[in-house]
Amino acid sequence: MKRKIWKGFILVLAAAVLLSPSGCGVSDDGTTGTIELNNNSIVTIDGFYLAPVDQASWGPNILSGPLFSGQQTFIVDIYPGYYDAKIRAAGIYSDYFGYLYDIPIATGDTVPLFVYNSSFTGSLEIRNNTLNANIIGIYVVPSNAPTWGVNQATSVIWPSGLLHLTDFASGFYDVRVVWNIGPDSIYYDIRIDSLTLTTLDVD
Amino acid sequence: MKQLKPLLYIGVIPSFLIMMFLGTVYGASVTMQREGALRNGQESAVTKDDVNRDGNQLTFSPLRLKNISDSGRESGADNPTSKMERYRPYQEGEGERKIK
Repeated sequence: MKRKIWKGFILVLAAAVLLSPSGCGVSDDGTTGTIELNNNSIVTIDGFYLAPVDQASWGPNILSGPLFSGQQTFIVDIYPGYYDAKIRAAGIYSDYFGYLYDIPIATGDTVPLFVYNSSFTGSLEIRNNTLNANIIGIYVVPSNAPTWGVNQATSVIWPSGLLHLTDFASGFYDVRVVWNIGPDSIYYDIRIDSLTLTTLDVD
Repeated sequence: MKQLKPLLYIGVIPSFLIMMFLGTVYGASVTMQREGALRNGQESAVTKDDVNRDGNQLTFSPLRLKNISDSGRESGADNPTSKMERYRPYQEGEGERKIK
C-alpha cells in the first residue's frame, strides 16, 4: 500500500514538473522575469530587441524565429530592472518598427506586451523621375515643424534613383527636394501611415 | 468675340482651375502601399482586437523617443542595391526656416 502511494506521489510530481511553466518553455526560477510577446498585428515580427534603459545600443535580435500574426512567444531569464524594447517587421514593401520604453521586469513576473497594426512605423520612398537632374538634398519634417531639419540624403540621388526612408511615426510631413539645377521642390502634407509605404515620384 | 466666349468658359477657366488644384503637388505623384491589404479576413479580426484593447496594456508604439543605436542586423542590409535608410527624426528648431 505504502509503495502504491509512493508511486502515485512520484507520478503526480512528474506531471507537475511537465505541466509547470518551465516545462512549457517559461522559466520561473524566482530570480528572473519573463516577457510574453503577443503579435496582434497582421505582419510577421522578425526582430525583438531588448536593452536595459541605460544601454546605448539595442543589441542583437533575441527572437529565435519569426513570430507570425496571432502568435505569442515568451522571452525568459530577464534580470529584474527597467528595459526598452524594439520590434521589427519585414513587410512586402518596407521594414517597420515599434518601440516600448521603461518596461518594468520584476522577479518571478511575466509581463505581457502587445503589438498591434498601429504599433508600427511607416516608410517613405522618394524617386527621382527626371532624366538629367540630381537630387542633392531631401528634407522631411512633420508638417507643423517650423524648420526643415537635417538632410536625409546621405548621397546624391541620380535620375531614376531613389531613397527609401523607414521609421516614421504616423502623421503628415512636409518634404523638400533640393536639385543640383533649378529651384527646390516642396510638397506639403504628405501622409505616412503605420505599415504603409508612401511613394513620392518627383521630377 | 461672341464665339470666343464659350471657348473661354469651356477651355481656359477649367484649365486654370486644374492648375490651381495641382499647385500643391506639382511635379510629383504620391502613392501609398499598405501591408497586408489583400488579407482582409485576417485584418478584420486584428482590427477588432486593436479597437477593444485595454488602456492599461503595455503596447508598442511607432514613436521613437530615444536615440539608441542599432547594433542588430536589419533586414535588407545584405542587399547592396537597397538604399533603405533610417529616418533621422526632426529636432526642434534644426535646419533652415520654412517659408510657406
